[in-house]
Amino acid sequence: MDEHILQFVRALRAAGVRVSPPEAAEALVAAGTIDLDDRPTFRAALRGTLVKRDLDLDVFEQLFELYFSPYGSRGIPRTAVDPVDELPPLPPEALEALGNELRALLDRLSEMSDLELALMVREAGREAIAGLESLLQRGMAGRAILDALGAGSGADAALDRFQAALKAAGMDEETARAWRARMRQQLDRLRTAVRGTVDSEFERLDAQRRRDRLRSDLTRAPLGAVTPRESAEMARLVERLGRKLDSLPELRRRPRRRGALDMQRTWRANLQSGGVPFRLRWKKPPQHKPQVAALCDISNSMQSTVRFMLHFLYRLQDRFSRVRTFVFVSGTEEVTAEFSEADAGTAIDRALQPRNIAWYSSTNYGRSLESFATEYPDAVTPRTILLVLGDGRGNYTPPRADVLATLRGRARRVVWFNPESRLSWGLGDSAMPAYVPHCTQVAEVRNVAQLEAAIDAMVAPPGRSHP
Amino acid sequence: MSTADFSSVADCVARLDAADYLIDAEAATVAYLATRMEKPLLVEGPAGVGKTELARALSRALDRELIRLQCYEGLDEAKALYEWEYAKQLLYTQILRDKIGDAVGDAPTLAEAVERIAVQDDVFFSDRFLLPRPLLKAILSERPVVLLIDEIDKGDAEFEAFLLEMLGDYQVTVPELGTLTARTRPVTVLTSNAQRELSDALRRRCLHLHLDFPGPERERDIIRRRVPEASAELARQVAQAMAKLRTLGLRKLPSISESIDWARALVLLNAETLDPAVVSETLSLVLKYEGDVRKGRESLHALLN
Repeated sequence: MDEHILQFVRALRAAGVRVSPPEAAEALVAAGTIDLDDRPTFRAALRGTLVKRDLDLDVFEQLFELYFSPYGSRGIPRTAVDPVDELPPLPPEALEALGNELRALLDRLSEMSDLELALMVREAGREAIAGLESLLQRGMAGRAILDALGAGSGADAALDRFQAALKAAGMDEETARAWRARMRQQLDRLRTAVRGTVDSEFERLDAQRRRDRLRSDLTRAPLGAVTPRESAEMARLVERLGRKLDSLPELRRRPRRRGALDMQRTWRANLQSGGVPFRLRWKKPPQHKPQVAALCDISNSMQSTVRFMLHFLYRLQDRFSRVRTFVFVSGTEEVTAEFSEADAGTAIDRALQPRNIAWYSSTNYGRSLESFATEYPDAVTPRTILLVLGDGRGNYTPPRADVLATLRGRARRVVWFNPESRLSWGLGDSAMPAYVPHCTQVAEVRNVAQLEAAIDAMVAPPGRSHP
Repeated sequence: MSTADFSSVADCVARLDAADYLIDAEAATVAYLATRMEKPLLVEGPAGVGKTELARALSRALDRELIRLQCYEGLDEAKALYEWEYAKQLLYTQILRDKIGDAVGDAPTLAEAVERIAVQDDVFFSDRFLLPRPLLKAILSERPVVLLIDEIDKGDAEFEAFLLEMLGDYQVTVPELGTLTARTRPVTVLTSNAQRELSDALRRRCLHLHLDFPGPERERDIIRRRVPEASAELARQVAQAMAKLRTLGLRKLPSISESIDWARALVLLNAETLDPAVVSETLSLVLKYEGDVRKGRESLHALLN
């Protein structure tokens, strides 16, 4: 059993689950502690010791089915084994009649447990099973497995020869038939196992294919598609951003030299000197958490990426206490409240239909920036990171880069994520070249990978990220 | 109630049941293994599925004292592990000043005097002035305890790293005293809402249990157990309605404790069964956001069928 669990551990590792050697050892200990016959208990024991993150549970379940359930979810078909009567020993000629391969197989079969049998079948049928595509191929796959094991189409004929050889060696009719029946029983057991394996594997493959189809349909779904996986991925990214921002060099400050004296720590540090304060200890200064003001262009030209951008902002607001989110087309409106109340899908839908600005009007970056600067003057402080998500296409309206310059002066940084390729900045009505000089950082962000790269660049030491 | 450890998974289920905690066999297996293998148990899952309650139930079932450490941002070892009682130390220093004079007064040389004080050196860093916080309390306890480290994801990454020594070897290091090893190994339960991704090092040292919301049947049983006054039918309906509420995509999923509160409130209102009017009135007990309540009201009829 131990060997089998270790095989399972190797399979988990191959599937990308991190299992350390002590954890594998613990799984063995756990398996030794509980009742192995109870499948749910056994599964829980392995899961508790080997799988430490919820993300890996899927992989675990699938592999567990594969490794520890001889016939998948169908359960183990038990073949009734007749009480073994004492039969006279077999003459060597009869065994020869069976053929070496079949003889060896039947020999092994008689000593195999159902679990071992199932594993043998699975092993032999790996290729045949992987190729299964339709219900009609099951018979073929079964035959291929039997052939590979040496119990193919000739097996029944071999049994006939075996019986004939027994009679030829002078065995009476009844004993010969009993011997044949016993061999036949093992063969049937094997065939049942093969059928069971093929069927359950086919079901599993089929279910998986259906799931995959469903998933790819979802990712193509145009609206409202924030799947839990996407949501988790975005949360992970923003969490990473958060951690990096927390450890940003310019955010870390040295303890204040002058300020509140920490009596407790001072006393503790000076106990050696009998309470005479040679070394002073100061209280830590309050942590200044970063503030973010995010401006997102929700006009038509942004259609392909706006949900992605808003999802990012949603997560951002979830992670940081002081994030304010704004959307704009030809004016700016705050949607912080909407974002903090609903789930991701709803929040994004609501942000796309702001109340006070006409989302169908044509984009005007200049006016939007101006209305942001004048209507929400408190949104940008020296501690704020101003994040603009937009393509910079303002339909040839004045870009008002001077407003951005003023904001830059008030904010700690100005970061611009543009979904368009750098090559097209400045082409047509794109006013990006006017905005770029006033940004601390600009990046092309259309998908998760680029967002990740932009986030990495965002927390790089200031100055270097400037284009 | 016996104080022995669990003897089998079935024993674990039965004794947790007696401690009013209904647990499914798989979760019980992991809990049982954690006690048997003396490994910390990391419980993850959505808020309100009974992660903390599991630790409480374990302490009742094993008849061990529960020591709880609530994690929060900024929690450090002075608050989690130990603190010196400065005031007391100061007081002693003052009082003993004369005594020190007595002790060294007849010393012929300065070196001798220093030597005599050195002999007394340990006086000020002894157990007498040590103020044990939860972790140290669990380590020093003569009787085995259950240590609950609640919402570890709310603590800082540094604190998590600090815990590793405790979780791996059940020992802590106090710089002034040396390394203290647990007298009895505490049954340790860590809970997390996955607000922050926990480090692999921490996960490696723990057995992992993912708790999810129970199925309607088990939730019904839980309600009946905790609110015996509720009729079987009412408990069933509440459990069903809760299961449906959790599928509505609400901002905050209603927890099991809210099911129990709801059932209690319904009993107080003399409701025998759930009907739209009653649900509509009491929904705000279950759902804590205005938007959620609105959503719940909109699907009122689906909830009751």
